[in-house]
Amino acid sequence: MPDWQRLIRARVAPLSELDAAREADIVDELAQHVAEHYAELVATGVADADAVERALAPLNDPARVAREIARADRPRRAAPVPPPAGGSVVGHAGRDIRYALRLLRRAPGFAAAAIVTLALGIGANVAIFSVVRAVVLKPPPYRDPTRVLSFLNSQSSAATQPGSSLPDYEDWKRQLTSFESMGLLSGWTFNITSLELPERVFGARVTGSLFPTLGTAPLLGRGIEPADDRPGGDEVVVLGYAVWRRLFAGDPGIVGRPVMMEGRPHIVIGVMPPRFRFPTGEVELWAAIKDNMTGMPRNSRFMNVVGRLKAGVTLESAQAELDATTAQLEAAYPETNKGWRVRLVGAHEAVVGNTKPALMALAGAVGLVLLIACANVSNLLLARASSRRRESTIRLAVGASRGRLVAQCLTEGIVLSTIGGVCGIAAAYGAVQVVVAFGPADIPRLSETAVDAPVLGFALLVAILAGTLPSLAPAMRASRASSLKDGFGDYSTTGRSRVGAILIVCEVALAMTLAVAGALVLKSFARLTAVPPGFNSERILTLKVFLTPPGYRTVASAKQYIGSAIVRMASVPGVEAAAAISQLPLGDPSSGQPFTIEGRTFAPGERPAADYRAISPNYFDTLRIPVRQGRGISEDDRENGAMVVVVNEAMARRFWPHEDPIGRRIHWATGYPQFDSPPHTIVGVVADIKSDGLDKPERPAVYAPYTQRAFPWMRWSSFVVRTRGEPESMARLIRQELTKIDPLQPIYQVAPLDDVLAQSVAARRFHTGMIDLFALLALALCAVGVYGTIGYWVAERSREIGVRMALGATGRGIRAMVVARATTLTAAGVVLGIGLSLVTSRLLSSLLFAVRPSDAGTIATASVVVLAASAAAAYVPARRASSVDPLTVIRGE
Amino acid sequence: MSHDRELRKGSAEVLILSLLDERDRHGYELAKLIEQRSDGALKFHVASLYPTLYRLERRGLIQGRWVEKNGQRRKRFYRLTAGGQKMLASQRRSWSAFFSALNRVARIRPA
Repeated sequence: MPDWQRLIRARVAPLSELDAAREADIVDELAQHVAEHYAELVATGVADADAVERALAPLNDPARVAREIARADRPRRAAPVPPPAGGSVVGHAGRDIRYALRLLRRAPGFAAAAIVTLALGIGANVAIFSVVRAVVLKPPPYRDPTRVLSFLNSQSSAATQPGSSLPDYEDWKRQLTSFESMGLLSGWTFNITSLELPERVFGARVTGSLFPTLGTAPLLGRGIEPADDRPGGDEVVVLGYAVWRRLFAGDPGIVGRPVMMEGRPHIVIGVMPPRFRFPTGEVELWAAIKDNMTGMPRNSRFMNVVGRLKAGVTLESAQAELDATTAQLEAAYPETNKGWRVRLVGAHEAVVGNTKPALMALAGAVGLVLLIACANVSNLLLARASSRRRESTIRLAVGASRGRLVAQCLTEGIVLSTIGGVCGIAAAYGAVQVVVAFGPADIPRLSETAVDAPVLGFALLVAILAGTLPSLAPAMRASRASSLKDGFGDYSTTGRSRVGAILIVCEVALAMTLAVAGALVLKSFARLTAVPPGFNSERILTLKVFLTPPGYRTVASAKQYIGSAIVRMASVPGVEAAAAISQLPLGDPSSGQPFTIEGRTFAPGERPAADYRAISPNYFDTLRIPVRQGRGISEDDRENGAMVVVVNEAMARRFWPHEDPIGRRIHWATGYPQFDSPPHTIVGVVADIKSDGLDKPERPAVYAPYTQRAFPWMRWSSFVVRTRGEPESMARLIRQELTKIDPLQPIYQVAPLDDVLAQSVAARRFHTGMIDLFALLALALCAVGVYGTIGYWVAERSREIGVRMALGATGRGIRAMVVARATTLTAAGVVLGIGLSLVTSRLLSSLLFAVRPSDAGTIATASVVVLAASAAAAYVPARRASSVDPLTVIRGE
Repeated sequence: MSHDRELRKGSAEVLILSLLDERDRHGYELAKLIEQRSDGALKFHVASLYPTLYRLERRGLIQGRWVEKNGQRRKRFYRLTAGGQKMLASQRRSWSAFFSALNRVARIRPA
């Protein structure tokens, strides 16, 4: 009896589309049939050889049999029919889209890979664009916002950007003709005491001209008007939207009602719309300035000034006019105005300008991610185009124009990117919710981030770009499809590989750029957070009070409150020490105050300035700030004792570089005679701390006993309390103790000093995290790209590999060959990427700290990571290549 | 057979379904019976029978299972499913309608 199974197998071309078990079953069944036929033939007397031949005769067209069986056995949709030539453009587009959709349904793996890649690229871009739009691009809700300008003062020796002074404002207002109107705002803390619990709200005192200058229509009632800042009449206040909702439950009848602030009734005259913030979101209400502020010195610069340009006046001509006025004032008041420059900047720009560089770096990073995603998709499309070359050739032969083929390719790309875009928008929407909820508070307007109509428009643009770019290469190839007479041979594989190789080199270069950026900002962040702050923040609770009139109208009453607060807090069980300071390190802006040194003369306008910090005697001990020389402040430094101060090392270095500062005397020269006399003797030098930020050098500072100087800013006071256990667990008890002194004083910003420290780097942490996230994304996309391209390269060379193995190459040798190919391409990309990152890392400068953009170690680390990721990605196809059976591959010809 | 392809395919299906309506059978038996009962006018050989069987099975009209008997090769038996019975009934109706129409027009009596 013949071996039927073997005979059948030899006749039926491999049923390659079926799995092995099913194929075996079919062969078995056919063998059974043929065997029975044969047995019957033999039984009727047919000769053996003849019977075999007759039984097998129906299977003599093996290809057809296999095809019929495979087609019958396996459910398959009919292959999509390419859209015909001819017809209208709209008709073409519709048919092309339907055709593209059908093709994608038939290749779900390819479609998923391309769509996920595009969704990541588009989603990241949409998310970052929505942040950039909310923070930078969206115009503020002022009338004709480009005409509203801020006045920014600067002097080469001033470390921080101060505000403007009242006398300067009055002179500008009188002299400048470029402005239609000008307004002034002075930040102020208000205690609202007419609510159930006293509340502290950060707000501003404004001139009556400020609201007309901004020109924003109120949500309810009216804004502050010129008549409101004149003496006499009611005190009035306009509420911001957030505070109206939070403290007044969004009461629509609030207008006309009084609230108690500063111990005086203020009539609510209006509520502003949600998007109105001036100058920043921190300011939540605006009260008219009532007291005339005459006598304020010209060097007391802490106010915000804005002006509205007259129609038709350019910023340049206004700046020129202001420069002339500035020069006049400098000549007239050298003492206070020498060296000061005033720059006009869009009011919006003035607020968000600082966050711009970091956001632009982020936008650049996501742009690179998108390019990498496009390169990946382009590679996928190219691989598919090769396998569909037969289709292109036939379509050309039956009369499709090359233009139609190109259009079809582009349509496929756009269909992919549209689906990817929709997924990306959904992802971006989720990401935006996370950013709004958890983003750092000190990025202005971040909370306004939303996926709105312009963002969707941007998404559409990005999707079109992301659909067109990747299909360009396959479209060009399709348009070059050979004519039918050249046969159906594959595209020249070298050509396809060359484009793939170029794409991979570009992809790696882009990923490398991002990897370097990610590594640079990460290293910067690590270095920054490793900077010792100069004080010990462990188990320290910080809290603030703002002492309001009428109880604390005098400096003496404020001092009394601070003294008893320290005593009471120290008596709470679990408290080790408690101290007071006028400006909390890293939490409060510090302001320089001019002073003179006894025995030295200073040219007008060249007086030195130092930070003034009023402290209680145990402040240095509580925060463990070491005293370097002399002594700290002691309990004996009383109000009517000898006037003493302690300076920091920065101050000692700057003003007494080769001398002993102990015993020297300084005078404050703020321009307020009541605060400035008499001279203070330096009794000690303490170590520098980081008071403006871990990345900023400490400025010269003077610590003085809070009891000695009659300073009105005493009303803002911070406390630091060292606890035995978790500081947060002590917060309630400490609060209670302070309410016993005065239940009307709100205690606010109660937080561990560790949190204050973390908050000071929150924006940087956010930007670093985002850039690193995008760098990882880029790396992952790049690895996928290398995997795909090398996989294709291996598939193309499977015969070559089979021959090599048949000739004795080891699996290891084959793997090495494949990985070497990948590494060559990657290395080229890495080199190109290093060049790119040297050019682009300039964009990162605002995020770098103690790391040069060309830091060799960082670049080396990033190179190793990129090379390792690519080698790992190439290893998978390399393994597959080395595990092929050489005979199968060679026979497969 | 000179009928067109669809007709042939359709008739092959109704032939197989009606033979399986009687009892479960294996492939060779089906081929044999069709040839016998049509007095050799209709012939199915292995290359067209099995694709038809697999197609019917895929559509859920018949169901195959392997049966092993002692000392014999295992055989694959096909059984008519409930769906197959319904399909057979409807095919019988439409073939019958088709033949009577054919007869009225061309005066052909079915065998």
